[in-house]
Amino acid sequence: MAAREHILKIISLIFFLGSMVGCDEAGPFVNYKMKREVLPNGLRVFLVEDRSVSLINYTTMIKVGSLWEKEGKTGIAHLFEHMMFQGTAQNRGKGFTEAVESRGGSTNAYTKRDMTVYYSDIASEHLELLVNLESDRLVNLELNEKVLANEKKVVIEERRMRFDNDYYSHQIAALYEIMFAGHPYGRDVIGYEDDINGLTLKDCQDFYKKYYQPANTVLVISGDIDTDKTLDLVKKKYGSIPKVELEKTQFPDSKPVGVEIRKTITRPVESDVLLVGYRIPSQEHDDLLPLFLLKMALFDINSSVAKEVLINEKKVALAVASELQGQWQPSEFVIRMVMGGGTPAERGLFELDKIIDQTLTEPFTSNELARVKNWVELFLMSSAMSGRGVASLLSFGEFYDGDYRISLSQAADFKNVTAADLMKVSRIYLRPENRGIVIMKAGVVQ
Amino acid sequence: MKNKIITLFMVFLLSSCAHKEESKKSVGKNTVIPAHKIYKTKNGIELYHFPYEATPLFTLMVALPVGGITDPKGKSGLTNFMTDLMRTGVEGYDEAAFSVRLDDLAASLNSAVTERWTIFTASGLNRESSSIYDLFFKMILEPTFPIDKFSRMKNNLLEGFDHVVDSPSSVAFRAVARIQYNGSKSARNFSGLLKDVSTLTIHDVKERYEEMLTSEGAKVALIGGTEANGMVQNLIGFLEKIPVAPKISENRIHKWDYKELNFPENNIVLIDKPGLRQSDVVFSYKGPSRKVPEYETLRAIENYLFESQNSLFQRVIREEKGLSYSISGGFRFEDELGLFHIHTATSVEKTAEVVLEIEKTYKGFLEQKGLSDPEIARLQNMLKGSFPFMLDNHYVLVQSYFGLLLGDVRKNFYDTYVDNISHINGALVRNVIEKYMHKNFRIVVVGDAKKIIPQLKKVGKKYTKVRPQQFL
Repeated sequence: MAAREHILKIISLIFFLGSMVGCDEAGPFVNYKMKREVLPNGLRVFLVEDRSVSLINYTTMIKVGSLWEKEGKTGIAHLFEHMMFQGTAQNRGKGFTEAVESRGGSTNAYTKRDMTVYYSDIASEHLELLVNLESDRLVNLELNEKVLANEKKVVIEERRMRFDNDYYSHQIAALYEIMFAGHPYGRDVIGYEDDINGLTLKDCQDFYKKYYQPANTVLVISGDIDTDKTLDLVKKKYGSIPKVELEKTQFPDSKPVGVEIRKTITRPVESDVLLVGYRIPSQEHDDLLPLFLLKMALFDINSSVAKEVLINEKKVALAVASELQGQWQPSEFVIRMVMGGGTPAERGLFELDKIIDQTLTEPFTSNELARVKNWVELFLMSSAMSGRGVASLLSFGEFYDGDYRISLSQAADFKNVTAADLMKVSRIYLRPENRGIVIMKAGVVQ
Repeated sequence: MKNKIITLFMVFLLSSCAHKEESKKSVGKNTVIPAHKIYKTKNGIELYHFPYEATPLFTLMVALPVGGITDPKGKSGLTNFMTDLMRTGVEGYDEAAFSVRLDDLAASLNSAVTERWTIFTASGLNRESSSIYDLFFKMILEPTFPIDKFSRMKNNLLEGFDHVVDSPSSVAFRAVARIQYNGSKSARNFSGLLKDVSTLTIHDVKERYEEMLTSEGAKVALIGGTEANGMVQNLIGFLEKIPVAPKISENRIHKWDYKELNFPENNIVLIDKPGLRQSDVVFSYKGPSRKVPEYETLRAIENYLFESQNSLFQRVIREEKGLSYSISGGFRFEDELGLFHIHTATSVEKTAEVVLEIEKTYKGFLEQKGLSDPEIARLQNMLKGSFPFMLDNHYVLVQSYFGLLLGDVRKNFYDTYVDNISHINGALVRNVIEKYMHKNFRIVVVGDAKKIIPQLKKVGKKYTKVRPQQFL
């Protein structure tokens, strides 16, 4: 969820603002009471109140992911996410999950390049329990060799399931490698098997101490809560955790692609698959919004150019999909095409290039642009049906911008994005020398 | 958790509940089914309107009482294919114009085919409801079924079968369905068999459409809007254009045209996919139907075995042995025959070990003959605590409630769910285990046979090696 919604957070904030100030259909947004505060130890707290259903969501976002990993230690951010469920002195073993699940709640986590996120959903009567559990494991986690050894086995199995057994993941990994050579974004988040096996208890202890600090954490609680009382409770439980100054991290340079790079792999799949990735700027860049609209117009909406031409008219593809992830560092806009009717991927690339060339010479009409904006509006209305949905969207503004209100204030120009803006970003970013291409040929691996 | 919610939601869809005009019911602690009003159109359609003003969105669901179970013999997948084709051209709009109009309105139109229903769904902004209705009912009442679109969609569908083979778990569950339900009308795959889909003609589609389009027994739900804004009356006008035609007779339900798959019962069905680093392993046996009265007790057992990180199988297979990232399982409740299954994926070199460990764990569970009182109390807390998730927001709640109306299980699901959980006790658990949980499984393994066969031989397991294409 996170990566895709990251770009949506910017868009969401714009419509959120628009709805609040002018639209008489703003009901779902204005009904939620919100509060934020930064505690003296640096913990950022963001609360959204929605008393309509007796449920809460409790999300802890840690600013660490595979981006922070060094060569030879890949996979530690994700492995450590697993270790966070292995108990404290107060809640030994699987005490955390048992406490949540035995009350009908659920708890889980995910790790991305930019973040590690822990979340629980449970009946609101158990809010204090969660505050206790989460504040406890932020400082009192108990790590031991036995648990680490088993969790490595589990993570290797996860890697084999999500990565080794999935040929599409092989293709994505190959694309990352050629687009981000020498940079952590060039590796899969889950890490290399040998690296995972080589991680030690000390690695985990150091990682915990360095990154799992209040000043590196955003806490988001939403749903059936009283924001004032909840903030008091959070201050009581988290406030005593000492402040630790974070070391500034220097990431490797993310070099531009510079020249088109192509790679072909062969796997026992049923048809060719084309994967094209264009380098895009990091998350704070103004061009991400028009890029996102361009992506929707080209690939996502019902009447998108790609669907009409590649699937319906030329009949070269069975499916076309795209993904665009604004992140801390320059990342990628990926287009995937599953070829149909025995069409080679090279033909798909030829047709794709023709579509992209057209965006350089023929601007989208105002109607076409309006259609894209219609869908964004609908998406936001749907997302805002619950306070937990609103919190989920705004939390990315809080995480990346340091304060969700900054995102709101920056969002005011969104509705003014023009066809010329789309043409401009197409010209800047959708160039052959700014892309990597991985073709997966259907065939027997030699 | 997602799995848990989906499971609960699906069960809701397959259950049933009584209703009254202007009803408003208590359903569990702190939760209420939204007030709604029931209308009957001149052509006999029941319309349930759930007003909602907090969000300027609406969802419309039109359920026509013709499902995939009456697909003609040798034409499995026909109804599903027909509904997909309906949006490729309607009177006044070709496919491209139809897509543009959808985007102009930011409208979503979808369809789904279940055992007994064909359900069309529309959603969008209230302010566009009139235009969306217009487009939606053009799709239902005036599809043109263009021949070129028929050919393209059929080709795409046939190619899609090939891609099933790319996914080990998809292959595994297709195989399980074939092995467990051979010849049964339950648990049919409504997207059809490859050999049937390949014979579909445009004539079949048009003939099926005429059968499907009937107001007789149709049910409709409108979520959103108010009576005052005209959305209901406008909708009734459209609904009354649906012709009255007799429902398809139950006699049309024919024997499912599967080729019999006679694998020796004690053999593992080993589906060979060379090169895989992990094997998918599925244990299964035939389970109870969705009409089973002990539903909540079965849910409790399911939770004990699979549905939390501290469940029996997660604890043994993942936490103690590190054999898998995850193991899932439980009951699938179908119209007549259900399914009990256990599914995991493990490194290919551990395949036989996982098979033995699952067998041992399950056998141990049966031998313990029930659950202790503290275990039962814990499960009761889990189930009661997760109940509000089924009623999460207005749309989830109402869509689930409409699902109850389309089902045919028991009339008081909401009213009795929490009480039934409270009444679970040791004797009930023992009875249910005795009645529904069997000793013998069919086992399907999808993986690299060359690496798996020596392991199976070593532990004395017999197997039948097959190709994945056999199950399409």
